[in-house]
Amino acid sequence: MSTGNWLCAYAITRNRPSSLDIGPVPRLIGYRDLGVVVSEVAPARFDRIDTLDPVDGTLAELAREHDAVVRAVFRSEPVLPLRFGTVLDGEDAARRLLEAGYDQARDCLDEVAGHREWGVRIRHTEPAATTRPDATGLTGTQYLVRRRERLKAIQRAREDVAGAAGRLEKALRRHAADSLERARSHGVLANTAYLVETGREAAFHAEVEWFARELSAAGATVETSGPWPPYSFTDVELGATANG
Amino acid sequence: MAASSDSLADILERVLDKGVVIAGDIGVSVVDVELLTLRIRLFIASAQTAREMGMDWWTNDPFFAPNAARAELGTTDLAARVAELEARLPAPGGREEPR
Repeated sequence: MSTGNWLCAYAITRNRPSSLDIGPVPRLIGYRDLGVVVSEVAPARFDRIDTLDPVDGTLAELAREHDAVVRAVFRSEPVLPLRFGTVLDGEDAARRLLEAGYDQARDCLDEVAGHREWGVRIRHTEPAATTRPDATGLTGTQYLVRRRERLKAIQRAREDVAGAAGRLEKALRRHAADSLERARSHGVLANTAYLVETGREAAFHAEVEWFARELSAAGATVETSGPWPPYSFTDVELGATANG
Repeated sequence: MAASSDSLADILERVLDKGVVIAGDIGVSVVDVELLTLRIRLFIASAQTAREMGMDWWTNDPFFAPNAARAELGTTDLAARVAELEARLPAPGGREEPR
């Protein structure tokens, strides 16, 4: 039962402790050929988490920690990151987690092995359509013609960017094993995660660079992030069947 | 091409939004500050409940169907705050609901 400390679980990986460079803390708990990476966590650490600034407080600290552990495992073994904030009550619980999700977890590990995740984000900020041309010295007709031309130019740029963005995404999907649209914030035209086999990363990035030039000419920017552990491609539910 | 840089925002986006879901965990699929706060409240709720329930909480306990979990947690002040936040969201956690 409860030890007073919970086990914070970070990731499922292969049960090969000798290949992992994660030290004594965190540690690997094994079940058959799978293992879950955990560390002891004092409940008190989470007490004030919801009252602190999410950008620079305990949440950021814990998220960085989670990411650091997942990455440490990912450097040597394929990894299934567990949802942030997964808490287990002791080592037996960790083993039961692996037992319950054994087949699903092993299949998913095989799928992501040898792949890394890359994020590609396209930003495009249009000039505001509401800005008006300077009317000084223009007749009414000239003014309206200018205004229409300006709106047309904005529309044309929008189409150019959308076209190039579509071609980029299509090209990247050819090099990726999987892709997933992520949430887009304001001004972001596309935010996609790609699961790329390491052997195809060079071709993938050559494609990004090629289209980045075209998009840049049309007024958009392309940002990449990564390589990431396959956070976006481990959308499996363990224990779901046991739950009925 | 812009250099690859994994900012805190990128890390939060990935770490908080995705990963293997364990039955009984209540997930939120969209990332923004409002939802980050919600996610953390849910985390506290599920951690607290995990401790109360012992080690089998994610496997064979119908109690932990997301709907049941919400009803049960309704007795705590924390759950009331979660519900209040959820009420302000469109279709909270819809992705995770068993149909």
